[in-house]
Amino acid sequence: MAAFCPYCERRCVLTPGGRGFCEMYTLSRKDGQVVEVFPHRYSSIQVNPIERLPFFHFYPGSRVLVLGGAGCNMDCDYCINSYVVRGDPEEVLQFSLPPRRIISLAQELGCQSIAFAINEPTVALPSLLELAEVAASQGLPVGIMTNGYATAEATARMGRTFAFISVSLKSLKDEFCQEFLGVESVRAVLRNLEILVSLTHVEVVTPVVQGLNDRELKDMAEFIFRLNPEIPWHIFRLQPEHRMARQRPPEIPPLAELVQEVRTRLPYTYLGNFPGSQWVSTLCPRCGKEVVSRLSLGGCGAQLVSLHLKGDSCAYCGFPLPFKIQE
Amino acid sequence: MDLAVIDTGGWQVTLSLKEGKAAADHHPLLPLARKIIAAHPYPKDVDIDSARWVTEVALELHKKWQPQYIMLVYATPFFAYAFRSMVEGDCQLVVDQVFQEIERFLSAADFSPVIVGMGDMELVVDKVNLLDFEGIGVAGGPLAVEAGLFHPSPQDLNLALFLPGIQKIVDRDVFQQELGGNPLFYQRFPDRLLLAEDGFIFRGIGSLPRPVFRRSRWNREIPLASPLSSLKTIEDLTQIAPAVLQELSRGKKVALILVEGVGCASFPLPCRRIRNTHGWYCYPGGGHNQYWAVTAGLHLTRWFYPPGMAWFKEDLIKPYPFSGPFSSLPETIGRRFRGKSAAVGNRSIYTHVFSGCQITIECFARALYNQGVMAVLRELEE
Repeated sequence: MAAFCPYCERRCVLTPGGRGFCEMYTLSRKDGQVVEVFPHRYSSIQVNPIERLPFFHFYPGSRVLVLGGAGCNMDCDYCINSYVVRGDPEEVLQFSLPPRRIISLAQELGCQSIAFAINEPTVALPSLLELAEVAASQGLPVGIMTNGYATAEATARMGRTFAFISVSLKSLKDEFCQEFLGVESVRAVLRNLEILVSLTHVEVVTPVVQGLNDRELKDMAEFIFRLNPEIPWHIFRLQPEHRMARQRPPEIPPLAELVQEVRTRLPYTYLGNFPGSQWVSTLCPRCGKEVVSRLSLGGCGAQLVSLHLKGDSCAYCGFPLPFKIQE
Repeated sequence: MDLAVIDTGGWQVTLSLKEGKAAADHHPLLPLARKIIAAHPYPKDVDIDSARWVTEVALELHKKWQPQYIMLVYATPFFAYAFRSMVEGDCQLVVDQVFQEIERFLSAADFSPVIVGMGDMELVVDKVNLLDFEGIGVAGGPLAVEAGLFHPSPQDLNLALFLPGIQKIVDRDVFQQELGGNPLFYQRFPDRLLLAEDGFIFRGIGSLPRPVFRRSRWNREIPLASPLSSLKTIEDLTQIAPAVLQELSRGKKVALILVEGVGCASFPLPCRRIRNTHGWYCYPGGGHNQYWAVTAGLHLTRWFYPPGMAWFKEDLIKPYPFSGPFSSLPETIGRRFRGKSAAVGNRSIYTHVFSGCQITIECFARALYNQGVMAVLRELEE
């Protein structure tokens, strides 16, 4: 008895008791179904402003309950969370939390949404889909941050179920994926971005590794423009860890220059992951005024300072802006 | 206006410390701060070179600014013990290297030292899972020995009595009756404060899942070494600040040197043992309340940030965005002293929050991710 994993583009062959690349799925001896090895298990639970993740255009200024798990279906040389991603899941996944418990925690802690954000959600998808479905019935949206390397079927399910999704677009080249991410091709990620953009709120994150993928940024901008020029794009100054811990992080001035240039086509492009960045606020594409002011405090994302929106439009000139505002 | 200058890989930005927004570049110490932070990129927290970095920057400030009071924070032992798997012999090497760095500073600069070991550490043997409670169990950071339990159910209180790893459960009202203090302190206080047994750490809302090896021990005494007469009679950590201020008022040049991860068992110099307690309460080494007690000269209940508080509630818009959860900067030695002052430390925001000096240079590291160096410049009085 064997089956292909239906969740990840690797499509590992699973046998009863055996595990695939991510170590998080197996084949049930009972009914031959692919099942999670650690359902509803988490490594961390935090409360953060949603801008910290970063999601800049979904429920700005709100609090989010952030969950983390273990495991990944990629093997990035520069992974910044390898201590949970590559840790022993039995050890790392210390919290067992059924959906109703997570939802009640989110409500008690004043969170307006829930997000899975520390490692790859594809490796815990059945649990997260169940969480999102139960949470939706309570009026609580659930989001994820993914590397986009899921099957098309799983991706469509994600797009229909999760209210906000951040996709990491690391490269447009297969060679980069093979050499630094441990996967064969970027095609699945590009395909899945198209699927997700048609189904839900999407923001794109690109971790920049100097000398490796920084030359691709203009091509990536073009790709995102073709998907939808209103997509928020977060360019991250990556500080490589794991097997590339000695690699220097990117220089800021060339990235800042590029952001200024790209903003003429993709107005919601941001540059962050370093303290004091001056490129994390939203400017109205029509009047040029700062409609959402944020501070970059270091680490991922930013913190909201002020919001000048009237509904989802610029409070100064009325131009409609692509923000999901909480009702 | 107080300023923050951040250097990230050679790119610099100057901000208002209170607002966090880009600020005009007017401060007499700004050129010096910019030059020093550009010339001294920070190594990593767990790297022994981080202690060397503190000394190098301190010597440069001594040479160029010539402060009468300097505060130095060497947190390298804490980071190394907490996040690296080390045998005891390696721990001793770290202590030796840090004290060599302290000695290098003191032999090059003519300060009278006041060296405080913030407390020994011990191996982590197990964790207490706070999400087993029905209430909200809060334990910030990767190695919490104090936790807050909010809205506990009757079952929770029963469970807490029997769950392995919990040394003490303290009701907020009981804490207030026994230790008194500022009513504002109790506004953020959890319904129940939980203290871990030796060797245990708490994991709950806000805990980082990073692997840890050692935690702060419950040190009821900490070591103090100083040749200064005012420091020779003190018995309690809150007496350090008034004694330092007294020596400064006599015209002495004083270096207050705080060493994290080192306590009475590992302190390599002849020292006094002073109380690290307030009543029955024992300060965790390197915690914000211990820093407050040492640098402000007051016990924790005289401030606003109790143990076990829900830090994430301080996370939205507030003043001093680059000062962590703190919404105001406390009146510490550096803020009360009218002469020239400076501080350097590798315990990120604690350095500037608790130094209060005219110029503070600290690492900009968050959760061990090294993002650069920050200088904080206090507005100089005319």
